[in-house]
Amino acid sequence: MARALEPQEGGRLVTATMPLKIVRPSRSAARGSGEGRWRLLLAAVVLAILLVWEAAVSWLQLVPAVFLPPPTAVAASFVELVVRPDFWSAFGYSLGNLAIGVVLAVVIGVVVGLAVGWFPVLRFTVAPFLWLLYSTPKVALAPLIILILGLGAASQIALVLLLAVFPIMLNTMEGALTVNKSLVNAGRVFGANGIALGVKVLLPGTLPFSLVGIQRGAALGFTGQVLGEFLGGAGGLGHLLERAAFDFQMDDAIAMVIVMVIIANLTLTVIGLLRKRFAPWHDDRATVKAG
Amino acid sequence: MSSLFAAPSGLRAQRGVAGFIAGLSPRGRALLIVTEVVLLLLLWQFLVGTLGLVNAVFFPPPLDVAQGFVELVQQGTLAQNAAVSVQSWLTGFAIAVAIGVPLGLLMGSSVPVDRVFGPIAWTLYAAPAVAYQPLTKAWFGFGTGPVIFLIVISAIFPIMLNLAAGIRTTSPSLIRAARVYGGSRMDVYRKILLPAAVPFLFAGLRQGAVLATIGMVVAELTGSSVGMGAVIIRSANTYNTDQSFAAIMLIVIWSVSMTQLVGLVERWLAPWNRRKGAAS
Amino acid sequence: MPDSAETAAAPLIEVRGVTVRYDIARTGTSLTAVEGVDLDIAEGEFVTVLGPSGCGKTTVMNVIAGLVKPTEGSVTVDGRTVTGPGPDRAVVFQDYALLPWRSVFDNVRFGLEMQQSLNSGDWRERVQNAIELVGLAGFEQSYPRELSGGMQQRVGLARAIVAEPRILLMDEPLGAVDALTREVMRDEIEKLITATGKTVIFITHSIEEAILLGDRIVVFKSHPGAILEEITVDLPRPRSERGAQSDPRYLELRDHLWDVLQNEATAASRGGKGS
Ligand SMILES: Nc1ncnc2c1ncn2[C@@H]1O[C@H](COP(=O)(O)OP(=O)(O)OP(=O)(O)O)[C@@H](O)[C@H]1O
Ligand SMILES: [Mg+2]
Repeated sequence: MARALEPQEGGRLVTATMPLKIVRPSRSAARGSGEGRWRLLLAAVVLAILLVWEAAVSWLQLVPAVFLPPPTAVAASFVELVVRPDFWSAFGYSLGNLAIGVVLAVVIGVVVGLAVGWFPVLRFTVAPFLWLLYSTPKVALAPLIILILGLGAASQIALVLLLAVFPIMLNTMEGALTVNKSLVNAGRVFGANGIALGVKVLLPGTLPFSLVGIQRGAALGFTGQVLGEFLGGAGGLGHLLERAAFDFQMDDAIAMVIVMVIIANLTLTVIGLLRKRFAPWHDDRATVKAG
Repeated sequence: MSSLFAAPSGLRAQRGVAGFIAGLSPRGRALLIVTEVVLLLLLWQFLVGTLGLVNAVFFPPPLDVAQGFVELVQQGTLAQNAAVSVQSWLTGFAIAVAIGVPLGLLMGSSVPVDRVFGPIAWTLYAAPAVAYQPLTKAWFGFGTGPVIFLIVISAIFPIMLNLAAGIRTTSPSLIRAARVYGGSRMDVYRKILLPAAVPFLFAGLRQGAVLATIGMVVAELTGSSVGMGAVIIRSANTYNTDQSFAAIMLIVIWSVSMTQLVGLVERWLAPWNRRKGAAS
Repeated sequence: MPDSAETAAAPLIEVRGVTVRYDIARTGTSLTAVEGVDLDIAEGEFVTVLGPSGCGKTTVMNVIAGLVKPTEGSVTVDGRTVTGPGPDRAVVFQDYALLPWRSVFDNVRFGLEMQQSLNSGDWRERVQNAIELVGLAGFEQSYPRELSGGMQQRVGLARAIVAEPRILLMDEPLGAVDALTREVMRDEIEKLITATGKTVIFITHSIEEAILLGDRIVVFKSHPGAILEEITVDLPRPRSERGAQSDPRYLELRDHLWDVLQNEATAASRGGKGS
């Protein structure tokens, strides 16, 4: 057990994009009865922060409200924002592009990942490149993508795809490799073959890895969408945010940022739930230990 | 698809090309990769540069990129902007380490801090750092301020959260061993928890280095008149994409060098924990 | 061991009515791991402990080591009540619990450095002696991950004996070692312990190990954990497996323990399903 906690042990269940994942101490390790108490404390601390913020800006006027509007102003903007029709069209536009890009990334990433993980020739020749590409800051290509595809949805989708595809691809590849080694042997022992082997062993064995990749990919894809809108501003959430900040409507801008934080967290939570639903046996800690 | 399921490689000795490659030494494999890269570059040069199959503005062939690099050097653009970027990166990363490490230690060793601060940190970390960019632009203006801020915001969470997780998941039996042999609370902290968290810290630093570069590029692309990101934007807007590609290559080299450097420091400081495989 | 005759009168370790209940936070209930354990162990005695999995052997050992506070009852060592770990008791852990970032030498030193001043001269020699005693000379600078399981457990043993504790607590020290190494190490442990005259509590799952090593065997039952039976082993030392195989008393003892544990296991599984 002592060694199991070294994150770099080789040979165990390794998720490809490990360096971009962190162990989240599991809830069950916590004292259940204390959990509610901590939540209360958390709420109290958040409330205290908001109070100090409000006090510093509105009552003591230590910071000019133009720079940092108080929480009450931000809250008011937030309420205004969610009843504005142009907010919802921007919301639909951004999330629509994000969804298309991520779906494309999932299709391409899973197919390529499975193939590279499965065929040794590809693993030796192509995989090193994928690793190299994975670890390069692909956001730098954004201006070129906009140059090629123009301002608008197409370049944003391409950017989402570009950023989201690699974690999905590499995790799937790593999953296929793991399945390859042990589970297939076990499947064969029990008489699974051909398609049955694929459906009963390969797919469920790879799925948890792919879902880890999809979770990471969706987060990166969101970065791609927002960046695409900053650079090539058609109507989306990022565009709305940039305009608000440019006009120095800081209450609006902060409310927009909060919206994005909520969207990002909701997306991750939903995929996290999917992971629990479809791969409850997958020990998240096991993946993290390895890398 | 059916052939995909047909021949699991683990079941028999590998034949053909795969078998040949699998039998190569690490150096032989590295050579193979280098050969592949060279062949790809040659093919690219041939298809785009010689045959003109694709518009060279969109995919400038290697020789053009080299030309672009020379131009950047001769104009003095490179030295000036690279210096700005490197300085922002190092400053931002140093700040992220200086804040992230103590906070991570605190989170790892105190349950209340972990329970209260952890959820806040995870929530902020989940959102793309790029979303904070317009705010920082409004706050810090157009200098390197927003760039450094975005680097800090990008790098700080992985460092902090990994370190905290490392301390928190230390094997209880190591802690028991320390207590059995007379360790005080301080001994347990110094001799068990801290060394046990070292690999996690480095995992966080490596991850932070990658994210810091992304944060830097995003910030420089969207709101800076200096730095490598600004060079990319400017050259792309004037259709000098050969220069853009040269700049991108340099950023890639920087990013890879920094993660390798973190790995080197780790191997030097934590030799007991040699990593297998080279993936960063 | 010149004074063993005097101390034999009062046992070195006295476990009195020890009950341990763990709070299960998730369900808000508590689990009784062991209940009302009484046990006397004389100085220089080698006690082996047998029992089904989960019956609380480790728990009792942790109470003696001072790592777990009993809910009821107490443990005294040499007349003093145990309130925490102390230099008179060392533990050999089932999972080795070696520090992966330390060399063999420094791992063994770990058994010394926090209870005795290292600048008291001869500590290097003592560490070196302990390493040689367990047969690891030449591996001082290796890291644990470079050693086999058996070798790692020898490091754990050296770490435990380096500070010369009176009592050695061994929790399935050979549990993770392969069968052959296990036999070799068992004989080495016997030699080592009889040479140094230490008091030992040795948990094991192997009936053979329990008989071949122990002066006395304590058998535990589960639900809740408690002592079922104590058996004195009066086979002559040194004992070897091959020699013992032909000893009718060894065979009788082995069959008896086998029956007891078998009964206990079936009873436990029936009881477990019923509740
Ligand atoms: N920290 C703990 N919290 C809650 N329950 C525990 C804890 N430690 C042990 N237990 C429970 O106490 C009982 C006895 O555990 P213990 O580890 O002492 O058994 P054991 O006899 O050493 O078993 P094994 O032979 O498998 O090592 C078990 O039912 C176990 O689940
Ligand atoms: Mg046990």
